[in-house]
Amino acid sequence: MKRILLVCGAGMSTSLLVTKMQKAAKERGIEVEIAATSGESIDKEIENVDVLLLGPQIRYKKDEFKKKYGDKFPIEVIDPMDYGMMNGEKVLDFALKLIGEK
Amino acid sequence: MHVASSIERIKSGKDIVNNQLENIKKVYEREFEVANFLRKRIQDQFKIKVPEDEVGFVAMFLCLEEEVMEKDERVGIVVAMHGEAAATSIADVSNRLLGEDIVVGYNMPLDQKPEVALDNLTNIVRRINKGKGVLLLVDMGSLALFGDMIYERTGITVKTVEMVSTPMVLEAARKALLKASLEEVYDAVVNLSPYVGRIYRDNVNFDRALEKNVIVTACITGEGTAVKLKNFLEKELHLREKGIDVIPLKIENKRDFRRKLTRIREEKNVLAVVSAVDPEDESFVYISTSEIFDRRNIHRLQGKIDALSQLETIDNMRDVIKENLGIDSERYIFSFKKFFVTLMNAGVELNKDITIGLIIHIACAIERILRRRELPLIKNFDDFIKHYPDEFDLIKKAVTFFEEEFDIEIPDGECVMIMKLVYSL
Repeated sequence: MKRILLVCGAGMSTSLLVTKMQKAAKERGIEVEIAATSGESIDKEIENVDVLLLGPQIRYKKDEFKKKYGDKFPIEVIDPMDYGMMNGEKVLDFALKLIGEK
Repeated sequence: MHVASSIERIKSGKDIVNNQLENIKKVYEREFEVANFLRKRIQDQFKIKVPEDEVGFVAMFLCLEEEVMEKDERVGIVVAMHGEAAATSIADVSNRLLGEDIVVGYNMPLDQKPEVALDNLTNIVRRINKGKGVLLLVDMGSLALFGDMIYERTGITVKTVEMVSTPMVLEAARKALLKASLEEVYDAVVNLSPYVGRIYRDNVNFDRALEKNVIVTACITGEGTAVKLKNFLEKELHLREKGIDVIPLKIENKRDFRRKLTRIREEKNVLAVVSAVDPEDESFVYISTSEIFDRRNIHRLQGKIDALSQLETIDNMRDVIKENLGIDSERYIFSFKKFFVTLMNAGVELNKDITIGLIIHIACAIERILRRRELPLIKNFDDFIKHYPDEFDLIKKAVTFFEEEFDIEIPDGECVMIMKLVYSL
């Protein structure tokens, strides 16, 4: 199963978004694992990740993550509008597109 | 700034009247002395004669900080006219335009006996007099004589103005709201000229065409500085393209300023105020007049203006919070704006990404605190407090708006988390 990981400062606001993405995935019958984590605990969650999405507020960490994880999986920032609107559908689309499996 | 437009005004031969002059001389004796000294220097320098009224305004500048709360007393305003509804109708229009309930209307039907009308008006005057007297605006006939009769009966000073019209009532009410004396209110109405409230009139025009987002500029005399500030802002900061309008305001003092801002806020979204007087309201970004005219600040100012557009973003997030989180979204957005403006006023520039992140993050944190659930812990948050003491203090101060609104305490660890987001640490 594909695994999507979202990261933000505390992992709190992204977990809200994760709930909405999970709902969207279920409605569409897509089997996918979606999780949220904080910048600090990311190491524990990073295994088997297929795509890593950053909350826009920690956009500045993108380079740091790229350096750390290389090209093992795509690393992108979530669109601020989708993030602000907690648009689970769109962020799920974005993640699946990055994985290349839609 | 003020003196420059004064000199311009004097040179063009225009007079300005300072109704508070006598009051200023008495109450702010020392400030008036200093202003008088400045007057001499300006007179010598520019070879002009500066009237005492101008000196009074300058004295007001000097004493702004010490301004004390005046007694909350107003002149009463009564409109009395023949007919079934004319008086109450004018009173209603004035009250609604000013957003205050100050004008009382009395309709005198044609078949009502003057004695009855006099009795009724006497009672009204008794009821609304707060010790400063009452201005009676009437249309014609016996009503014009009632003022003196009411005075005889009650001992309350009543001044009467005939041939009442809506603009006169408006002017009377406006003056009265400014806590002017009965004489001042009376004079203002009698001498009502098209020049009165030039800026105020502009506002009325604006109200129809204005954009929703506005910046308010204000100065104490209102005869030029506020308009100059408006022109300057529009030109330098390209506000037109940003869909932000500027409203120039004439204000008498801080309280008057706050009152007017409240009224504007009913219809417009006030992003910032630019004035020599700080209205001390956390929901506006305050930019001082001197800040504007220091060229070096223009870049910083531009940043502030850009950030202002985010206040709209904040408003747009209300529904998202409402749908996704178990907290009162109205109160949350309300306090978030104060939080945001506090940071802005302290010089912190937040981009849209961070603002959106913060709105959701803090909402989550508050929800957890309210439900007594644990907050994610940050390792070594004490180190952050040690390394960024000033930043931490500012965050602590800014989060009090949430703490007060929701009656909670936001722990230091969480403040560090917010600080990390705010400063991208």
